Amino acid sequence: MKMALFARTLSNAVSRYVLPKYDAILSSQLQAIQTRSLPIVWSSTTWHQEFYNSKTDLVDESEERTKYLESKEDFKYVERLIPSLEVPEPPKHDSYPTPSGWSPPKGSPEGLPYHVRRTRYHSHPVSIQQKHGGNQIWTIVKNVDGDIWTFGDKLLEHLEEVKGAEVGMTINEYAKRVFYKGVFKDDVIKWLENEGF
Amino acid sequence: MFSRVLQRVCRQSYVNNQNVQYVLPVCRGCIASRFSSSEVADGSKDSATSPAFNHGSESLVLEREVACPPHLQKPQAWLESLETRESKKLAIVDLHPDVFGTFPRLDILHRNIEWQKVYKIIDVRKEKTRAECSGGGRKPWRQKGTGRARHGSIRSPIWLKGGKAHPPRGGRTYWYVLPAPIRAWGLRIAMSIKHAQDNLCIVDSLDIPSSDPQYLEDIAKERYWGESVLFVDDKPLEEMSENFMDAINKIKTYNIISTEGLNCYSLLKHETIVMTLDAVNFLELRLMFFTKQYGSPDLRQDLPILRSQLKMDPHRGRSYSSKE
Repeated sequence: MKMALFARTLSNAVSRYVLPKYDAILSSQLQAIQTRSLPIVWSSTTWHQEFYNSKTDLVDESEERTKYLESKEDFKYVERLIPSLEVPEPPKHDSYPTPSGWSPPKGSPEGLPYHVRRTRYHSHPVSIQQKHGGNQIWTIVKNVDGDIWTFGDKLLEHLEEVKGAEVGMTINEYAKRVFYKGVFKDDVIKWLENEGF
Repeated sequence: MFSRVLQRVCRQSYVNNQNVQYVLPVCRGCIASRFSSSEVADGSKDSATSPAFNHGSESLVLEREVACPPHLQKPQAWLESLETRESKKLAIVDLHPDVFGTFPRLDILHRNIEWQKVYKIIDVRKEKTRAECSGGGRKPWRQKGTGRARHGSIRSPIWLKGGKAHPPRGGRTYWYVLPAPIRAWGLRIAMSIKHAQDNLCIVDSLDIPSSDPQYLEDIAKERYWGESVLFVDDKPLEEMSENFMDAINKIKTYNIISTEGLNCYSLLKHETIVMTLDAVNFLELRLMFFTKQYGSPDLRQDLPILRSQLKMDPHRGRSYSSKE
């Protein structure tokens, strides 16, 4: 009884979605289902072949396909969203230093035998290196072009004044770096800004 | 010999302040023949083909923007032409000091060349382990009582003709990728060295009148280029002039390379580098990009995507590849 009811509701539902020519096949199958009393196994192959439509039946291959034009006009809206790959130039402020303490290089006087270039992020190339668990601390100044020895000596003079005692210095001429033993990052940055770098 | 020349170069232009006059050491030929007897072309005659330079003033400096810090002195080179056998100097070209005049970091150059030599190696040596040696499945003699050392197999590593404990197992690769900024730095260093040693020649284009290889050899002899010459152009190989390619193919030591394939090994292997102005323009932008790009990888990942998927190159006017 339940089976017959199920089959009837199914056939009603199905007949709305199936083309008329398949209706006859389906209705005959459903009649067979209704009369059977044994449990039915729905085999996917029999169901697939007669129930589902294939696109090739509906589409007429001899018809011309609709043409289309490819335009790259709107790509400019994508282009402007692509983020910059290079570090941008900092914007021009009314007064320096900016609230964060940054100021652009003033420009060093001509004839100075050395020059210290800014990093790609427009900051001073001064960093702290710690070794042996913090027992050995060095302040490093990089990107020193020109005569690194006079630069090293001049800055050393200033740092020894600041500290009031001797300061250890190492110069790596090949890598264009100067190392000072101790924590002098702020003093070095101030000194570099005064020099115009 | 190489290092001594470099020391001389270093002393002259890098250790002393960089406002020193850029001195080119003499390598071969004589400087007098290069700069006095060779003709200097009057650009106004063939202004349609030659690049623009200052028509108003007497100077022959090419109008070329070089975005570099003002404290650095720009190295200069002659702009020559390959259209005539005689050396014809069209103009003077200002070069970027960080591309053609960096400090010669030989350790970076060494890293580049080692990488080029090593990363392609696939070691196919294979040796047997104790499991692969024939025999050795049976215990040679009983554990106790023979007076001899105890052994489990005649093919263990301590035995003669036994297997190796940790043998090479076939395809071992030495592949690794040197970071792009280090590779770009290496190129800058190699080109700086070539320019400092008077081995760099900048040319307006690689068009030659005939496809006779003898023509190129005569040019090289005239201009003291030496045995091997590497020609560098910005175009892909398919677009290069046919005359030139026919001539190059017949000479073993003259090679042509696109900027895409430019590498430190080739730059050092060939005695002279002949570069077009287009290549110089592109290389200055592309190699300096790596000094200015963001440090963190997530911000750097867009360039390869741009190049592979969108076929965009921010350092060229046209799209990256001619195939679209």
